[in-house]
Amino acid sequence: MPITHSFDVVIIGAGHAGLEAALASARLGCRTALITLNLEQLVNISCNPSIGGLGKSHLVAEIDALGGEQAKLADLSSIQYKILNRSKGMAVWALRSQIDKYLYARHARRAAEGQEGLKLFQDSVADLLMEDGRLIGLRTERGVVFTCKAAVFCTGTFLRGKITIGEYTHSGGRIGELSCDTLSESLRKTGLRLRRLKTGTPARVHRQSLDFSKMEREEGDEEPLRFHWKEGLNRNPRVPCWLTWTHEGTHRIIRENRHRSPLYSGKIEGIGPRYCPSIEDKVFRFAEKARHQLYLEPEGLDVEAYYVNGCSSSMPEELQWEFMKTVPGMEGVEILKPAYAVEYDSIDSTQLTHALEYKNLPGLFFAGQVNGTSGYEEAAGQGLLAGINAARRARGLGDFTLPRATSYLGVMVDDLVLQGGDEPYRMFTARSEHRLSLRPDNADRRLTAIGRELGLVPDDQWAAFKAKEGRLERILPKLRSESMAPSDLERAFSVRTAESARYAYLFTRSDLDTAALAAVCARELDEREEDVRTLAADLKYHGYVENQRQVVERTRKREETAFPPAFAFEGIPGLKVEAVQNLTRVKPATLGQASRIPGVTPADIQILLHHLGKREG
Amino acid sequence: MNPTEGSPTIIALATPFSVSAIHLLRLSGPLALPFLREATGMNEVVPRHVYTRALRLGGRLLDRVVCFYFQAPASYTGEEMVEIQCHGSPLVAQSILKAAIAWGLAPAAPGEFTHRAFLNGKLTLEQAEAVDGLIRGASEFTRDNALRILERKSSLRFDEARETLVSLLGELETSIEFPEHETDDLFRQRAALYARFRERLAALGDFLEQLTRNYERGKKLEEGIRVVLLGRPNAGKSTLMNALLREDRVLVSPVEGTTRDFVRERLALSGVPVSLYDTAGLREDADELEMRGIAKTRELAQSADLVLVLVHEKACLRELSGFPDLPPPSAGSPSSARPICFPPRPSMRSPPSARRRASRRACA
Repeated sequence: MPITHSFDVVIIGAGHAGLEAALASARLGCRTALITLNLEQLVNISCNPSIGGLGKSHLVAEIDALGGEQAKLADLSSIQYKILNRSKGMAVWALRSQIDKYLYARHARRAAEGQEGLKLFQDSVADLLMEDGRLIGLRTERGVVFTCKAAVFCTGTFLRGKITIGEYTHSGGRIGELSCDTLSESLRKTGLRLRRLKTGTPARVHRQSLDFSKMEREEGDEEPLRFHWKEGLNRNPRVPCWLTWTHEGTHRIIRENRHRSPLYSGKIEGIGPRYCPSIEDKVFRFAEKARHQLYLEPEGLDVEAYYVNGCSSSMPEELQWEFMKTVPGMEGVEILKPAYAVEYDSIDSTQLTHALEYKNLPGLFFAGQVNGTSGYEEAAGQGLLAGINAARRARGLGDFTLPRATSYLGVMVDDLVLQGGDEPYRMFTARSEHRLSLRPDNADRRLTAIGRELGLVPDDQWAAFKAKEGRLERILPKLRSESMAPSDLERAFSVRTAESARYAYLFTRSDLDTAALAAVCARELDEREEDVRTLAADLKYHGYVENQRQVVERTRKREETAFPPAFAFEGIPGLKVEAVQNLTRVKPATLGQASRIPGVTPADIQILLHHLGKREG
Repeated sequence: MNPTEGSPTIIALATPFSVSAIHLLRLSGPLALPFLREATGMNEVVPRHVYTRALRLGGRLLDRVVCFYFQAPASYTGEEMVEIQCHGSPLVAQSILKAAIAWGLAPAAPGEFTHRAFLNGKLTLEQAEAVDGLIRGASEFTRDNALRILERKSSLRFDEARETLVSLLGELETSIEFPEHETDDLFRQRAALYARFRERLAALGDFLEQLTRNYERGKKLEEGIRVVLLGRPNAGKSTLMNALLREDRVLVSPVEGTTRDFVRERLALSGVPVSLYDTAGLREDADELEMRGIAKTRELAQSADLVLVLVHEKACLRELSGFPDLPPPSAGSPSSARPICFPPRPSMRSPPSARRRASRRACA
């Protein structure tokens, strides 16, 4: 008699998406199981040992504001912080942090094991159990049955994962690990469309084989920085990274061995991430560039392994040794783990609803890399949302979704569900129409009340948030009433003014550095700098945001015009064949969603608008 | 791949549907040549050769025609084209059209040949519009302008402007989204980069401004310069209008207030298209209907390119002093002031006192 476990929600895969999904589900009171192929690899930093960056730190802040875990883990394991884009507007500032991957995994495992209502299992899911067109459970390779009301698949690169290094190939989602080969077929049988994607990771090299004296030292920022709402989690030492460059000699070796590159010989079929090209991709696609930068990043405080950022590859191992030895400071390099490419099955994310649930099989959710995204932050964000929705489904509650206008999480899900795309998706600030209002510094003001209402934001976070809101309410009138004297202005910013000017006005001036002014202002008013800074950003962007808001308002009506249930797109006069096909495939709920489907033109939207108007009238 | 590939083959009469020396039928599309072959029985048709043949369809003789063939893409539309000259009878032309449509050709929509030429890159949008301007234009200026645009080989730089904007936007977004690459040589020289942005934007701005100016000028040339005749009742506005038009277009009488509503006529003066407005005469003691006409007059004067003020022999500028909302003769900068001309009249001889008063008034 096989073992049968009974749970509300089962999470398959324990990476960045799986952890957030499992914690969210358990925190919402659901009995939750987290099944992983290998407990020792729980929440592995599989690639770049860093969290954050452009668009990504925005996601981390939103996950934190909703009561997710990633920001906290990042702070606990960070060994260097840096604010990117400091010279640009505050809406595009981004925090990036180097991570000790072992610390990160240890804290993640502690969070999972310490979570009430969450149980961990090491096994491999093979089959879906269905009844009346609903998911009711899963069966593992070993025959163990998990009954559940909802399941979240966070399988990352493990569905039919295949490793390639030159002529060598092996199955596995990461080098030296297993892959999940039967599950793809089970999923396909439900009507899911799968596609083949590819990603890659660079070599890990031994620190003692590197000559840092020939590289540039890249320090982080000195000041205390953090991702998590709570201060003081990070007590780790700060460690530098090292910068060096490839040159013509490096490129020549790669060029001369083009025929041995699986990427260019056609051996690798999966589509790779455009914004994270392998070194051979860079050499061939950007042939005009004389050099490419490589960052040497530590994988942890207690290990000698360095990650060679900028040098992912699937070239044969001996060539990797050869071309890396040409790089200044790497002449004596010793490779611990070669660079490799992974091909894997991902699903066509346009088959999901905005709750990340598979449209044809209620109860089945997907999150993370399996949805065709890349990045820990994108994965964690989806995991959180899918976990929330799986828990709500298990308890008979409706979908939880976030609009594009108030979060990058909303932008990401909307993009995935409506546009999908053929290549791995990563977040950029440019993907949002509301970049000026969606800042990391106001993520809590956008989302914490929502997280609290969901039941994910704990008491201490809520209290801290309310206290901050109180402070901001108190400070704002002061910014409108208090002024800065001309002499102070001239001293601090070399700007001459005839009379003193109020801070609220000064923050809107484009010739003054808003952040620097916020620092001065905070000192003068004896307030916390980060409080003043977030208000300064509000004031600075107010005019633009107001403009944006009006545009949003104007498009909202159209956006929200809903199609009646089972609306047939066929037979509407004037609609292009391609538009009909894509609309029928994606089944948008509203006109706004329809307008973002590839192949649907503004003219088609006009026709639909007209058609819907006629029906109403 | 030709952008209009898959479009039906169209046919249209290119000449007016009336009796004339000849009629010209044009065909464009993949079936143009097959149609010509079948209707004339020719096997081999050499492009750009002139043939005289009997045109028959379904065994019926339609006409004896002159015809020639343009091979794609060397044709007006960029598609396969055939032109057929038949006798200038509307009946003959109509029977050919009917037979061709029954054979499987489609009647062309207005402007469709030029539209296809535009889609196939044979004409720029600007040139396509110039074709329309050339056909419809009523003045020499419009004609010359349209021909100039048609003859200009380099198209307007719309695509170039768009590409500049997209590439600038791309560079800006890249500098925002990939700050990790700031150590790259490109971003090391941020100041140089931004200076280049400014330079390219300024050049683009100049181009767009010039485009706007050209548009204004082109619009004027096409719509005509608005000239408004203004003055007290019986100043001779309608008389001048008729004189310029060389016809008795407007009713003229010695009774004040004969013209109650404005009258517009178009004419070309030295080749310049002009919209000439005769207006209700300005006076304070008019009846209600006339007052409405006077209100209209004021509106017209405000929007005119040129106001021609007509005054009585014994009158002067003072006549208009009761209408302060009208544009003053010399206010504002040269660019914003609307010119007001006082047409010279050979017989004008005002009493010296009145003239002095007028000049004082003007100076005040």
